[in-house]
Amino acid sequence: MITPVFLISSLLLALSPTTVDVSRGKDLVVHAEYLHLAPGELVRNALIQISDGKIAAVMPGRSAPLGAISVHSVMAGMVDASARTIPSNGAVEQSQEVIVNLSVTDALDLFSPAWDRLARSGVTTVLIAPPDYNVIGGFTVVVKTSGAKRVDSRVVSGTPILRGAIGDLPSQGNSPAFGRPRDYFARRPTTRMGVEWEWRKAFFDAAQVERYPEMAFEGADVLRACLAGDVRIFIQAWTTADIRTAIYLDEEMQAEGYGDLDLVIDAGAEAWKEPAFLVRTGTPVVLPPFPATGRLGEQAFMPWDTGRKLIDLGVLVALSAHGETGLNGRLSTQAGYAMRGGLTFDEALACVTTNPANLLGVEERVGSVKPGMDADLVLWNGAPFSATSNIVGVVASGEVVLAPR
Amino acid sequence: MNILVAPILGVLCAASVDSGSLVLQADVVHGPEGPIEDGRILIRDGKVAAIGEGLELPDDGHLIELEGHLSAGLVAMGDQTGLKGEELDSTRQVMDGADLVFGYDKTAKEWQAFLEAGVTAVLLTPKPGALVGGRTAVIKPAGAVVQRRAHLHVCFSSAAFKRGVAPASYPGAISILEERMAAPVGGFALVSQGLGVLLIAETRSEALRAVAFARRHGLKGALSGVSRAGDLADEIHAAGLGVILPPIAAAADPRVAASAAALGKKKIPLSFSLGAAKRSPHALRLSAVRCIQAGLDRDAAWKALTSGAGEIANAPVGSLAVGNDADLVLWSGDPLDLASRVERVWIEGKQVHGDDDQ
Amino acid sequence: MKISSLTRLATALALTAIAFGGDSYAIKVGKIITMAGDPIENGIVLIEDGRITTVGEAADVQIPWDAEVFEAPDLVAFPGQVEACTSGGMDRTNETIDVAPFLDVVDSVDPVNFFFEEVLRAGITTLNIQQGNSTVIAGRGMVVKPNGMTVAAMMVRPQSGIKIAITPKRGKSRAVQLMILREAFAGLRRTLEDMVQDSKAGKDLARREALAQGRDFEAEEGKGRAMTGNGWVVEGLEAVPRASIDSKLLPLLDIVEGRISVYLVCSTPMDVLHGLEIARENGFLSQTVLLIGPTCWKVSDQIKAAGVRGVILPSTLEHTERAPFADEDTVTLLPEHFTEKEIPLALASLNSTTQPLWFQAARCVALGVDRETALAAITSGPAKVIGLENDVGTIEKGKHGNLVLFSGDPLSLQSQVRYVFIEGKMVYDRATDSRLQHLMDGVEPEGTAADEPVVEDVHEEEREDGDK
Repeated sequence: MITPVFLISSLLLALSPTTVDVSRGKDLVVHAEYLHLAPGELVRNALIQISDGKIAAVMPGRSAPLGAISVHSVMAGMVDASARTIPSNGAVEQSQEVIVNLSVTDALDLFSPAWDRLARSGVTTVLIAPPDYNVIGGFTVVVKTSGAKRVDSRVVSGTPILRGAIGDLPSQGNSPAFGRPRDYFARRPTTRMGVEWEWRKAFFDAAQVERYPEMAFEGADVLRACLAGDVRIFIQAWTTADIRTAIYLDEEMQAEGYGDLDLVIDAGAEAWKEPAFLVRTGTPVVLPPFPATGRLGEQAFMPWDTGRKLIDLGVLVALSAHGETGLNGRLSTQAGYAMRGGLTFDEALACVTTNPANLLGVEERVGSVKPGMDADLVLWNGAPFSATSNIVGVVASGEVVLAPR
Repeated sequence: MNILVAPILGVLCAASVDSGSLVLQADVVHGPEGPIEDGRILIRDGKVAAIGEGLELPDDGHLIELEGHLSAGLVAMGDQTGLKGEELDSTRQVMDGADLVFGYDKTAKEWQAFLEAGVTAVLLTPKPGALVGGRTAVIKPAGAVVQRRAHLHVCFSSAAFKRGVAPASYPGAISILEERMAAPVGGFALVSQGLGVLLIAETRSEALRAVAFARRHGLKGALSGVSRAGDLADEIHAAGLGVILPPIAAAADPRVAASAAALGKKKIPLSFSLGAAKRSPHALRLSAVRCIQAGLDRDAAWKALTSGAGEIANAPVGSLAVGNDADLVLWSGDPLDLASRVERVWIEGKQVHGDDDQ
Repeated sequence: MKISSLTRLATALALTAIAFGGDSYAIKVGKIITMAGDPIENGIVLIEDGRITTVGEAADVQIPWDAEVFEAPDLVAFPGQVEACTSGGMDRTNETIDVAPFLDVVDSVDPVNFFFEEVLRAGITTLNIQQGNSTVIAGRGMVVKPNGMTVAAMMVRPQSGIKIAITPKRGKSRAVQLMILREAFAGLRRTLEDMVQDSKAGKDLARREALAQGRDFEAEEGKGRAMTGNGWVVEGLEAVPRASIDSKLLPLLDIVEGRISVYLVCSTPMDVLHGLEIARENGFLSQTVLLIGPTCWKVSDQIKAAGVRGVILPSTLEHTERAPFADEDTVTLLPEHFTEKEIPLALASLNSTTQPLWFQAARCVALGVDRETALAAITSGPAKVIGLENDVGTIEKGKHGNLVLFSGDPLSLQSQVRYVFIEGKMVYDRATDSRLQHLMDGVEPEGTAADEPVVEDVHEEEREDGDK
């Protein structure tokens, strides 16, 4: 698993400038006894030089210069592919069950204190999705958790991702229309079956547009882009029945020749029960936070070795804290819990950095500590994810958002 | 409208003097160019005919010498007094064709309190609760309508989301507004022809979206309801919008008044609202004083109560510029001193409150 | 697990149960973290009649011939952890009466409650069970071990303390809560003073009745005893036989006379100050343990100065606060804060499955407390706080043979509690813990497993079977 340290060191040395200038304007130098460049890539006694919010150079085998921040371990800022830091009111257009032409970007509240707490818990990049009160809720957005409180400067462009849900939530609040409908909630779906039907209907109708242009409707182009694999779809599916439904949907579209959906299962607590579905379709899973009692949303049960089981089968796994930033629930602690469930350190690291970055299509900017990438660093007072270690510092886009004491 | 006539007053006075003109003199007169010691105002036909120092009394004139400060009446922005039952129509979410002025109840008993607080102009606004709540109007308490269509009221706050009615979300609301702007009819057509917009927001995020919307479409108008708009001073300035500040109570978050001071530094036009019906109109002066304490320039605070508010309201109110209605207030002292009382109030040259010795 | 052939031989010999009766145990492990001196590599713990007789390196310890030997060279022995105050395992935790010190949780503990299974799984072997926080003066608690089919079998120490809540339950104000509390002690004092007066005036009805009936009252009810205590004292109480005092008041008198610990529930700094004052007035400050809320670090100096027996930290170990009108959070690390003040500490479990005491101790280390202090805060620290420092909390001679065998370092997330021993007897074996296997490994408990998971593309078949 561990790439020879020598090789990396010499490679980086060749790329690095020979002198270290600590005093330059907005630049920053961080020293780590252990620097995890990426999963499986560890270098010792490394200096990380940061300039203009980006990592300028990584220089292993150095001692800490005077004035530099120096800590035990450093890893990349974490990425949460299901952060849910979004107000529940006004973030999803519930007036229609299927919304594909709106983005949650216009509902972000960057002035919420939650962002700062996320950043200080080491999560520097998140996917924000519309809440799952709709069958399809619209486009998600990837944002940095710190920086100017202006949406434009915080958005990270990656793969376009549409968000929807299978399960209880989208049908809740709807009621069958008997007589005169009171409001738009007098509609389908009112059951899990109905939710599934909405999904199929949306894609079936979109697929017909190719043959019958007169059937075109608002958002059909987006759904067709999904079928063409140009837009990724995050589907919340807690239970194994819902995961199965999502996979069947994809396979049915393929069987009908409509296209091939690029699916990611979010909150797939019961992905361990019937992993074959995920394996045969190559579908990645974002796991929800580990539960103390095993029970999670929609009564799904997730044992602690879920990550281990899925990774052994070759499923791409990302961990999530669902926005929790307290000591016992934050994303770094989820990585520790996953290790308690059998993951190696490098696997756990991948599950909170490179894997989610890949799922969001932002791996060129975040998720590992490489020259040219965003200077997002998590600084530890011990081995990362260990219960006896804590995040003592966080650097986000080159700015110190949590300063080591 | 704002041309100052003071230098040529002598000529005016000598030339023609109609019957029934009135000259008021006070210790300090707060004119459009600043305070004038022992200043005088000539009022003819209910309008300010001249203002200055040592203004001569016309032959038919009647001079009243007053103790204290004489100023234009204050302007209250965003109020639902006298719109009883008319402040929000819940039957639809976009009411760009609705004029609030039709809901104006001149006879409401609350208006007397406005006059007693020195308020002589009010911007009537709908209660936030619809995406587009109608067109605002400027009226005088218990008096005339000054401006029938001041702005189109557009709500960017979550108050616009009602269960079971579209829009249910910020993205949904913005997409509806964009659609209306793309093919403007009704109130939106007026907006594209230059009618101002009153952008309602509560949080700074909502305000940013509102300001971005105004910039995208090159809209004029003002942002209202955001208590900490100062954090967005750059954006608001760039959009050329004014700001209607919410009332700032004595116990309010100190960051709210500091925010107003930040807006003042950027020379962004300011004014004060009363926020909700039944709030004492005296809250206007208290808000201004709180802002001064937090660092807002004294002149800017005074402007926000009077002529600045008039500009944001798109109406010739809040200023003693020659030609404007003679809506005046006599204060026992400096109007920005909270201890000062309202002694008398004139609307269009006619005294409507205080001891009568005309 | 390996039961040595020696034991099997001994068992085979079938000497009388009294001769050894499973009462002599030897536990041989790779490492012993004693919490009373340096760790011992390759150590042995000998336990007889429930108590530890010897702790030492394997080479130095002679295993008695009749001892049941348990060998686990890969495991680490750690003292059974001590939960200093919990309301788990009770039938119902609160009484509706405001002042109920005459109640006893002995009548409420349910030995078959899942709670005891869960704490064993976490390696907790001593629990101080006190009532919930919703009364003013609660019933008397007790210390138990989480093993045994009857309350009597679980008992370690009866009447281990009384919980007093300064923080009112929802719907009640502090003014009323404190009024009730002060009145309880004032009422006790008045009653005692009246009894002394009555006795002096010969109006002592019980005595007069006994005299009239020709009974020897002194012999029947025992003699009176002078009152002691650090707060207030009623002079002349020796004239009143203790047995004639209302038994509902006796537990309160025990508090004032310093015979029973008090667990003071203070969720806010203001509660701490009121609590300390009431404890001082009534003389129970030195036997007081504070159950504090996250904000109470603000009065840590006062807590230190008061000299209470100890503080049980809230399970949320850090306190995040945003001052009114501020734009940034202030974070206070509670273990570090209280450790720096040198206040005796005990930690509390967040839950017994995944965030129990060892996890909380690891969190303390993460937050800047040194390892020894953190480990003590789940073993010897709470033992001292509940007054059982001579019996539990460390692995040393004379203490109860309560041990947890971890698969590795007790503070590592990757370690497991493999075995738990109470008084030398193995009471928990992870290999047989089906509920934990369900949680950790997704293994359905026997007899409850769902149908075999569907792995084929049944949908494909459906389609083929369909009318298409």
